[in-house]
Amino acid sequence: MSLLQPDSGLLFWMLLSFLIILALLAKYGFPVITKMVNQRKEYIDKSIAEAKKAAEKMERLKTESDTIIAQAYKQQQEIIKEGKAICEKMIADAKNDAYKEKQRVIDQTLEQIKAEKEKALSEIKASVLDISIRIAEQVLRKELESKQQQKEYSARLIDEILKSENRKS
Amino acid sequence: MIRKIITLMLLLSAAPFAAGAEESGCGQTAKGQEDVNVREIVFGHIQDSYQWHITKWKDKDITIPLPVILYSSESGFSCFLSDKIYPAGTEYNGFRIATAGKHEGKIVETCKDGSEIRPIDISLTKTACGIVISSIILLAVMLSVAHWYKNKKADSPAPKGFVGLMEMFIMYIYENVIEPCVGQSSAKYAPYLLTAFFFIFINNLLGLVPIFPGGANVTGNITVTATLAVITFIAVNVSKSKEYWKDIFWPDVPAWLKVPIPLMPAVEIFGMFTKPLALAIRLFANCLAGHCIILSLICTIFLTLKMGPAINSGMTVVSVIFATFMNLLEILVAFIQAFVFTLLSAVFIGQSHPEKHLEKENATVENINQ
Repeated sequence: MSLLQPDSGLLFWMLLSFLIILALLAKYGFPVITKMVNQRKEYIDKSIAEAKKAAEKMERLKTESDTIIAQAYKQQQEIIKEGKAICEKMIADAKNDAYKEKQRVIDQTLEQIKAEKEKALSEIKASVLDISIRIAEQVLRKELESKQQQKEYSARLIDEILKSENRKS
Repeated sequence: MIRKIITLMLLLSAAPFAAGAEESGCGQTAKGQEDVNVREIVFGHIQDSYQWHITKWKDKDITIPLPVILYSSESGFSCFLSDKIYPAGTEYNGFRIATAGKHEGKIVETCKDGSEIRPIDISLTKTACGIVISSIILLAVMLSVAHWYKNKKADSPAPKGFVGLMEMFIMYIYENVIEPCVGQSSAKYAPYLLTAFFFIFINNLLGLVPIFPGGANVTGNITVTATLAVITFIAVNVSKSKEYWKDIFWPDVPAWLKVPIPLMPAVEIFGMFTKPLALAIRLFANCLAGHCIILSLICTIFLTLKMGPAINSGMTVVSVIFATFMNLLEILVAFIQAFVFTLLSAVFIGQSHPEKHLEKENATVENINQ
């Protein structure tokens, strides 16, 4: 039976066709495809690795920026606090200064008033003295117009002086 | 869906009644021809032939004549279409198809002295024609797919559609069969293994198509499978390291197995040849068996024609169901046989590189067996 009997003519065609296919596909077919797929695979693997690295970097940068932001916030808070304190102190100082100044002005004024008052008082005193002396002069002049009156007055003065001498002794 | 199938079956079972009615109406034409010779039909389809038989229409064979190319010392080169020598036995320029004897079914030349000789016959027979058709399809498909990759960079988007499908297919074989089995020299052997895979696969598929460009029993032909096995044999044995030959002629076994009687070397050398032989026979037998079963099932319809319409109708339904099932199975087998051939070739090639990791190979083989 020819089923199990190889045929030389068919062998010729089979070898010819198969070797042609093999030659063509080995040169232009499969290596092109497998090479490209492997290249793509490498590229994808590389891309994934790079993406992973980038993600890690992003994560790191994010934590870094977070700490920086936190620090900045803290600093800001501190600055605000400091500013507030300074401000309060300044206000307090200003108040204090103002109070002192006020006090000083008041004191000065009071002193001035006092001085003025004293001056006025002494002036008044002087003029009162002057006036009273003149009044007394007038009164005395009027009272001592007669000799009699002068004698009497002198005697009374002596008495008074004596009395005061006695009282002293 | 199920309703459609049932309707189809009813139609099929009704067909023999109609045929029977027509026949009786025509008046018992050629009653003798009804004896269906299953053996002849089946072998006619699976054997090689000088013409491509398509169908029989009203007692007339519709065939595609194929070129006959002959060389003999008697008459030199001769080239003609095969319809000149059909029906078998018709003589043309001294050539005819032998109907009996040693060269039954082949072209023989009658010499002047009356003796018959077999000329050198490189006719484009049905199988050869099938090989050429499938080769052209394979080349067109693979080269067009490969053409897509031209001017593409590694960062170009992956292919879609048919190219994507073929890429997936090729890379499936490459990554799951060739790379684990062959290892480092994958790139060297991949073109042959992939070509063998797709050659067998496309021929198996074309063999399942019942009309013209398909239907040739290419992978079920011992010449074809033997050629493939011989190429695998060459790939396994040629340009191999010293370790490979040492393993064959002086393997790592107790010395009494090697001297004085070289028992193990004999076994190893025997193994060298049984491996490709097994490859050839496995592929041949599997593909032939598939064709035989489908053809036999279809023949059952015509065998039961004489047994009356009832039996014939029943058998028609059963045959069609079985033949459909077998065809689906054969599509699976078409892939499996191509896969197994490629896998075993890859394993043999991998084994001939002793430094390769055997564990990985065994793991793959076990995986496939599961």
